[in-house]
Amino acid sequence: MPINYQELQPQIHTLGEHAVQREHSLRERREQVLRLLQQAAAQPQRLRERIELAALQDPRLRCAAPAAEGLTLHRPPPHSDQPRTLLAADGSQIPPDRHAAVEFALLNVGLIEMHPQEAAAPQEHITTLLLADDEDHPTGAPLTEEAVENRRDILERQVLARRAAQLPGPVVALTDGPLELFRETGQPELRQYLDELRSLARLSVITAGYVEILKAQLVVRALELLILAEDELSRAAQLRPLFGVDDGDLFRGLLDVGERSAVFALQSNRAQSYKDELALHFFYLNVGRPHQPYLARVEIPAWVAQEPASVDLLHAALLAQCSLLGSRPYPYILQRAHEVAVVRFEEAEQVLLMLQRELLSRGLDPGSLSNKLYHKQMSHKRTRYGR
Amino acid sequence: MSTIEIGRLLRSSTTGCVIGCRLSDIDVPALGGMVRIPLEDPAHTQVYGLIYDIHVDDDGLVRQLITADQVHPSVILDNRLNRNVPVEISVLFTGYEQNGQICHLLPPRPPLTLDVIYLCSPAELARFTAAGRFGYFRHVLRARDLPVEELLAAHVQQAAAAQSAAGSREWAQQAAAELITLLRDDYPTLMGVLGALADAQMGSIGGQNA
Repeated sequence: MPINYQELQPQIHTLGEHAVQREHSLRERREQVLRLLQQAAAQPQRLRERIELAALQDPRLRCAAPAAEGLTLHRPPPHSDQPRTLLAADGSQIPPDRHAAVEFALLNVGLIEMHPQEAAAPQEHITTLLLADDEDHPTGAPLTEEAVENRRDILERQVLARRAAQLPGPVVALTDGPLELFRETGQPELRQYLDELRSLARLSVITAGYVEILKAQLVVRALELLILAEDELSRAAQLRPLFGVDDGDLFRGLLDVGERSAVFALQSNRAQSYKDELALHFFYLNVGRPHQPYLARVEIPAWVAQEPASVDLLHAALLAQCSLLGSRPYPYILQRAHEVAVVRFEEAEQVLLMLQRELLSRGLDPGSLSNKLYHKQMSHKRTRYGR
Repeated sequence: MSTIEIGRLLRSSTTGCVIGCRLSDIDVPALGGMVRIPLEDPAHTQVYGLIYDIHVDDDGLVRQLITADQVHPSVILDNRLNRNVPVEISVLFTGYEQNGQICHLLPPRPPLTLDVIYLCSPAELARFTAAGRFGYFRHVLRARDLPVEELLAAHVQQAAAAQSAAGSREWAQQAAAELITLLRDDYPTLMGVLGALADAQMGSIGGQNA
């Protein structure tokens, strides 16, 4: 059935009215956030103490924390060479489908290798991993979509480390999305992921996660702790005096084109697993154009954050890559890695056919679609007499 | 026999086909160039055709790249060598050869997907165009939505050079005379063709006959 547009129209109208009212109150909060940032920049130790106290009372607190650089730092584009090698890995997957004829999952990771100081064509590498065997279900439980996505993230880092080990440095390695695994992750998977990050650390690869959607409130949430009373800190997650203002609102006004913010540490429950050289940090970067700021968050591990030259090299590489895509800045190499990795529907169908043929050739039942999936697929197909 | 492979077949019909090739191979084929497609059958059939369109598609990424202040050479190479954006070359069939005999009729069957296409050498071009009595011109003149004048001018120019190298200097004049005969009841097209021949610096043919 189609959407009830008549019912929808007044709801959209109401949303528009609320949006205007919301914008008025947000404007005041944005100004307040900016004042708080300047206060915190003058007394960073106070902010650190507030964060520590709040995290003790509620370990689920997730926010930015001051690191070594001044909180209001805005560093212009560095006079840095491009890295000798730039790598980017992106993964795609065929998720498991219990309604399919054969239950399987597939990971496809695309790796792009560029040498920015040369005029040579980039190299493409593809790694494909089928997950359909019993060894892919170590606990006997079926593979879930989340587990497959975690394995994809692990494979991305594996592929990067394997390739980086064969190359002279400095190597910058990019992935799309945060470095922190956000999903429910079993301990074995998390350990494996952290091991891959350590491999990259041993190779001194300048590793970064590029995060594009900027509704994060990591810095804002930290600044909120300065407003709350001490006995309110345990409820910091619920009490949101600056709700609606995100980090993008704050840094769009602070960062000129090409500038990056200070490097912040990340306080979160999950981030506790990322210790020592893996401790998570991030900075904001304005990759936009004059009068059109566009921010990205760049997540880096401690081994990168603690090396100013590495951060500069990463900063320069990201600006160069984003400039390649003109009016829609995004690292070109990440876009190409995504292109190389993407699995099309027709390819997924082809893999299923190959699996069925293999099973048939060994005298086994090739399986069939569940009736539910069959009818879902059929209901989208229409035929007409004579066609 | 020429072994300049220019691409592989994407799709075909009895009157023509579309070839795909990589951007890096694009210097080889030209408008009006003659190609041959071996069918690998017992009769050693080869289909001949003329290139009438060379099509380079864009996609979202390319359109975005051109908005940048400059395009790095590695990005240009990446898009030409790595990315699957083939050049599409459209070919109009003009005849075929079986057991060594050239015929200017449409081929008995079209080539198949991924069949290899070769550019004709000057000798092969001279041999095809010398066979019969310009019967293949009707395939070009019958076709719709083609740049008929430019196609014929480009082809006649290339074929005349090949014929001249093979010792036949009268071929171009004979070709023009045949075109005039075929187009005697279509004055606008005839004038267009002769004008195009003149523009192709075959003025001794186009200008004289106009």
